Amino acid sequence: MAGPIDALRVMPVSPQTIQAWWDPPADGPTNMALDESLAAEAARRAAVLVRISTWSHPTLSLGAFQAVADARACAGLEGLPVVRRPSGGGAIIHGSDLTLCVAVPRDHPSAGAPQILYDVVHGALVDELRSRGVPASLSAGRVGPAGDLADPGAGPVPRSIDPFLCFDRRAVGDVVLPGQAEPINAEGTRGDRKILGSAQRRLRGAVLQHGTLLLGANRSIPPRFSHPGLDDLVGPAGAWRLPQAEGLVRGWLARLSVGLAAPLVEAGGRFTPGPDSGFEEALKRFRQESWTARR
Amino acid sequence: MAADMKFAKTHEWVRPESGGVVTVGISAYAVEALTDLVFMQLPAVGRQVKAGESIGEIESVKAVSDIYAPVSGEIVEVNASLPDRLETLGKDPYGDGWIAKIRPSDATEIERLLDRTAYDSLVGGRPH
Repeated sequence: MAGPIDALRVMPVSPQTIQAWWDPPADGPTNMALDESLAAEAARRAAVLVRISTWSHPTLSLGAFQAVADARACAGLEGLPVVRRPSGGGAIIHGSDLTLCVAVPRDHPSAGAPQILYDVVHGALVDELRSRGVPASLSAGRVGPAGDLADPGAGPVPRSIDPFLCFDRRAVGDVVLPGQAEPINAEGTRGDRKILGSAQRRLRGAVLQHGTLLLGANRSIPPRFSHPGLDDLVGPAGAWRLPQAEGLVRGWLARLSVGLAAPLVEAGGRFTPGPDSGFEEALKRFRQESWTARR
Repeated sequence: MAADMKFAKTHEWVRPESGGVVTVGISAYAVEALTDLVFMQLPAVGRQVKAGESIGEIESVKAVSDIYAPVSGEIVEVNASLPDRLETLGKDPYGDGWIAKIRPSDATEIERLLDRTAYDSLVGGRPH
């Protein structure tokens, strides 16, 4: 990939460090390929790596097992680029969010059961938001199409009733804000508002966790597909969008460092994948329509 | 659990059957760690696979994991109904929850897998 030479590639990295990059906006295939490469690098370097990224234009990302036909059937989203994530979960319409990608070597203590890393990453954001006076908490359960909280101990939600969009779902540990008195959008009958959801791809050498932090509602898509973000729910207007939200993310990184008991090394420049990280191959795959439409 | 069962570090198990075929599945430890399974994709029958190659995927509420071939060979049968009854993986991971049968092309690969004691050690003595 063209880009600045990453001096950190030769920096000695302790297995106990977290390295983080703030990347410029990119399209869907590039973001997905960089994230897969981040996982390969995490395994190679035996370090926790974090890539904070945005999207160069509104894009719908499908969970690894979702059907592309479900995206095509969304009237009003025609023409929106679609990319298939390596991670699971529901579809996300990017454009007013930050992607918090965390890659952890498989032998790291947080790479055990999926919920461990989920809780560390999400707990760090809850703590940071609370320190700023925002009453965030971790969700207790899941939401069906009618917006009711399912019993988290009741087993898997049947696939037929799982909402298509990630932000219409609730998993144990999602970061939520208290609900409003009146629903904000057509689906908004639930009692809380999800602002951060994550899903993982558990690879041989590393666990890749994609987190989506909703900074604000996406104004470029029909309102029925848009969900309120921090800027809409907390305010004042503009305070939680970029670049103002950088302080929140820096605070999250610092708390993540504490949660993982590893010092943070914030890398300068963008993340540049190593020559053996499989970036070019992954980019080609994520750009192929046949890959996006494989399900 | 059969005494001659072997395990891969990536949590797949292998059980030799008659006729030179091995049955493959994933361990109870792996199933429990994933929790709440929702989707699964099986390999195609007739596919030639190499040890360590992904032969399928499984999704839980929060994570997608690859299922890796513990040995090289040909996929000769799959448990086709398993994706529609994923609860079987939790109830009987070493029996009805089997995933595929492989005709190995290199029997020595089986010997190089972990025995039960070594796999116990890998998962820290947790039940599997």
